[in-house]
Amino acid sequence: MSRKFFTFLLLTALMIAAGSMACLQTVEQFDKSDETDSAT
Amino acid sequence: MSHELPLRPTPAAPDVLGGLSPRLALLGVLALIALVHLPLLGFQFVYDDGWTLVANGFLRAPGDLALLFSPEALARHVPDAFRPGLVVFDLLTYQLLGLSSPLHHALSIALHLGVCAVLARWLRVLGAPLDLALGTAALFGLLALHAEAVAVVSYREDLLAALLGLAAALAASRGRWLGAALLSLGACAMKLSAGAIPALWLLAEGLSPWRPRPPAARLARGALALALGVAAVLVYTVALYGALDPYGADNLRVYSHRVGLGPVLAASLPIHLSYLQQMLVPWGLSPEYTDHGAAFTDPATLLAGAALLALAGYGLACARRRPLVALAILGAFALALPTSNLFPMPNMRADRFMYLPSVPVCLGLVALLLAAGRRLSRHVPEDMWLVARVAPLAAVVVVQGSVRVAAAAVYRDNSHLWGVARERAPDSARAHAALGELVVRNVPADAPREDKALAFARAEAHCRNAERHDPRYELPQLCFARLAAAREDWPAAERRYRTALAVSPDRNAGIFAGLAEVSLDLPATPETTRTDLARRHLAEGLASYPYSPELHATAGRIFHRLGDPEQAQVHYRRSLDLAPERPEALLANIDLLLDLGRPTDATRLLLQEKTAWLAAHPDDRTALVARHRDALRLFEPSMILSADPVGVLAHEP
Repeated sequence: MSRKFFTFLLLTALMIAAGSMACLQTVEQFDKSDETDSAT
Repeated sequence: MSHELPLRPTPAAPDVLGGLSPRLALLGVLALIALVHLPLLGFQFVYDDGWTLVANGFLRAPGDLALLFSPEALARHVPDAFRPGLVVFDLLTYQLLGLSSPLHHALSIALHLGVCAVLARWLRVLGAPLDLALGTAALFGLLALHAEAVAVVSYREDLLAALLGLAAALAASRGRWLGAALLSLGACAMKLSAGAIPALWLLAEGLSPWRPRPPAARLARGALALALGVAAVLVYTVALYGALDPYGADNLRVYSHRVGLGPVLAASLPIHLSYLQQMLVPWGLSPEYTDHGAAFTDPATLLAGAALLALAGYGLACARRRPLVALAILGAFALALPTSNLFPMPNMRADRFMYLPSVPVCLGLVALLLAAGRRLSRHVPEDMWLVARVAPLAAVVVVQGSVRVAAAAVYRDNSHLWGVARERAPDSARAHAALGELVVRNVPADAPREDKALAFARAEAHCRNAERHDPRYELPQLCFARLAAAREDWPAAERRYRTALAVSPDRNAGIFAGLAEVSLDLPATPETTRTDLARRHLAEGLASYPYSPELHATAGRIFHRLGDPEQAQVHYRRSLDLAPERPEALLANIDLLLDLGRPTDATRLLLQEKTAWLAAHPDDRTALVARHRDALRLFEPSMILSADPVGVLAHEP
């Protein structure tokens, strides 16, 4: 049972890593945004 | 679906974790949470970290710790003096970890893991099944809304309050009344948001979803022990501040002091509904929210009020038949009370405020997801039974964890943080002012004039936006003041600093430092007036903020300019003692020693303060090394040979 449980946790971690990359792309857009127009 | 939630203990219910050791399973869940938080180790100090850790000289003066428990703490403006437990913790961690941001972030992660572990343990002691306790710890540990509380070092106040508060509840559930009272005291000394823990404990033990309800006398004793800790901190606050409100009745940072409590409470209703949405669906998280008022007749207020009222009513109605649902709903309401704007708060809304209130929400949500899994498992083949049982919970944990990692990335450094804050809260005066100051600070001193003019124009746009959004706030005025100082427009800088000081209730060390510095350069002002002004601002600032390294460094520079090297050295020394990691005072002190023709003393000082020296910009270090070599060549031989006129003459060109 413990092997199944820890495999499940590992899979969860991998899925979070993959999911976070998709979410991070949104955050990265803020990095690249040019604020010259919006600030003024 | 809620009818499937466990109503009473079901010891015969099949366990999804089989014969797995509870301790091993919990360790596995904690390892998963720790793994997801690893990127935080690369983050810098942001937000209030500057005020509470990086520039907090009080942490470098452990000998003055006793002052913390006296009115002197207020007179000397010790940061967060109304949270004495937190100040002591910060002092200890600074002494142990220094200013290493990876170590401080590691500590925050460890505290968060501690909260998850204590939560799981308390649920088990209350009789919750293992899958529910572990699932709650996992969801709480990875909830996206907690990104801010864990990623910002200074917000460990929320983690500490939750850790000690839940430990107090655990101690009370085990009948350890003294431990419960002391832990409750510790939790509230970290942050008074833990003041609602007695209510949560009473709900958990009184509703008792998994075991028979304890006798009333036991409930009363536990609640009393926990409440004693809360009462002690409240008494301490009143004794120190003369009121329950440590922010002061005329503090304009508290929005209710500007527009009254009614509009703030009206606006709080949609805010709390949004919190609930953010916990369930992690959308709309932000490092910054703008304070605003509302009317109770606004449609948004009415709808949010009705929804929250219906939810609270449903929670009450469930008390007898569905105690777990009642605990999830009423517990969240109780824990949200301290930050609900009923009491004065400098921010009406922040993600971190939901750290503790999310505990019962996670519990209810996990119970719901496990119930959904049980229902799902009835419709799949037997070999898929286990997967189906945990699939709904796993899906939610993955979504929350993914958004959590992305949301935490916002807090990696200040420029990134305020850039995102401006995007998410475009009408935030604080975000615009902070961005304006960052733009000014990042202009290189040797940048071409056109580049400087462009950067200053950009900063001015931010300052103007900030002032337009909040003309009664000190940060826009500070933004203008520092911009004017960078443009060497001393009268404008002085005027803006004065305006900032007039509206700022606290954290004024930087304003006094700026005022003193620009006063010396005021044009068309007699020299005696300028020096008198500078000395007066310095004296006033140093009396109010004696633990500010910035103010002492400024005092050193000013006395240096005024030709008072003894006073300059005293303040440079004090600044270095209060912030041994900051290079400004060291560089200025070396400059002073070289001006005095004492290069060997400069070498000695440099060797004593290696940390600050290595923290200085390489250009500044190179320039000083060159000056030092010149000084050695010019001064030192003549000093050594000063007793020998022939020798001195021998070095004459």
